[in-house]
Amino acid sequence: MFFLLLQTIEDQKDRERLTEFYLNYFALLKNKATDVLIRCGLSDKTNLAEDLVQDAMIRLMKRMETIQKLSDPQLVAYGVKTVQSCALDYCRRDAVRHKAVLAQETLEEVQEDPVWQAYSDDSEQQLFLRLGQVLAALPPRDRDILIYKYFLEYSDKRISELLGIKGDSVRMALTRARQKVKTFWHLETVGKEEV
Amino acid sequence: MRENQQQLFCLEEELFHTALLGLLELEGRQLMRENQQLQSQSQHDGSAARLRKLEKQARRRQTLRLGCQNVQKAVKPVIVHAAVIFLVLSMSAGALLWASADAREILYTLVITQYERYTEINYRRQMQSPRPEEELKYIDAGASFMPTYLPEGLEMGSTEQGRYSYAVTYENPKDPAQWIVFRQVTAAQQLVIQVDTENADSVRWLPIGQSEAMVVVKDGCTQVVWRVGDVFLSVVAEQIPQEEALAFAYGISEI
Repeated sequence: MFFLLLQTIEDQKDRERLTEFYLNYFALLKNKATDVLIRCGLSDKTNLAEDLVQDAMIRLMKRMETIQKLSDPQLVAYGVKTVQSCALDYCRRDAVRHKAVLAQETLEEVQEDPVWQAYSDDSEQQLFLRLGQVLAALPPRDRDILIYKYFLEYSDKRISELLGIKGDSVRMALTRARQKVKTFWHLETVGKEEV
Repeated sequence: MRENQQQLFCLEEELFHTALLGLLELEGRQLMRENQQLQSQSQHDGSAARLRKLEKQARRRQTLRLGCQNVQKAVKPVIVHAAVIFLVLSMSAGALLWASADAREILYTLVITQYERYTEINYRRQMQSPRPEEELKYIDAGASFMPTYLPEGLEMGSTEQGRYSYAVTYENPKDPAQWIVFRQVTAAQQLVIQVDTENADSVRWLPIGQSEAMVVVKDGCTQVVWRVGDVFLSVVAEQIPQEEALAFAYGISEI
């Protein structure tokens, strides 16, 4: 059924791109969704991972304008974050359904994903990648906040609900990120002596 | 000064968005490496092949659907044109048939005089002279006409025979309020029939065979009067649907 939905994308290029993305990264997306479910204590509902992937893909279909501007790696990251946010959304609603008080604490305890720690070794020289490394050095939760805020365009309130944190924490994370980029740029252009 | 600050602010915004794109790019590359590892591990589980098969099926269905839509787009104007031509032809044929029916002429018309409370039908035999007395005794209305269609539920009831008329009543044994009286009257010399048309729901003229029939509907009662030659036929249907009453009248034929 989902493939039929994909066929409704009018632009052939967009349709082929999203179809290839789905076919090539389905397993990864499903794994990411499963990880979130397990971390939120829903290991008995990992069969829902496929549904969450499809929900995420439907969301992506609605954001074709944004996706057109992304490179392939950016699309992968965007897609993964969308799936993770769908999974977190489900976990939150499930917690509310079962009137669990644990939502906030449980979501905060989501473990740091070790794959993100490889950035400092990246030797790419392009400016945007170097700037990206500045943000990549932030804690995973802060990185998620940035992507939810600026790419998935969630509100502060939605982000705080998804991640189980306070609204102030969202704003502080955003401010921290901006400050880091500002400082990096200052160092790059003015020099370290003046810092 | 203010302009400088604004420019600085814009620059910082641009830098920040560039940094965000960089973050997304780095994360994406890492995920792609992870995906490659995953694919090499799950090479033999067939799930990727299954997905590709489903995608091909969906693409084929979409192609078929679009193909059908294109065919419809191409064929629709042709079908519409054909339908228009067919409609015009059938209307012309119908008009021709109707015209030819007129050309056959409604041979038997009714001469009526409209009064406030009734409509009077007058008929005089077209004869040079009155029928000789000795002939009159031989006039027997008989049952020159008989119905060939009877509405469901009705059965033949009583009959009434006069010198110049013959009437049959058809009744519904389960509902005495429903009946049809079919009367046939032979005009000896002059005939006058009065039909109750006061405050009738409708009075109209319909062709029955080669005759022009007057149809009066009033208070659930349908009356149909027409003549064939010198014989006047009337159908009075009480609490019978109009279509059924007319069907009964249309079904009356000469023996």
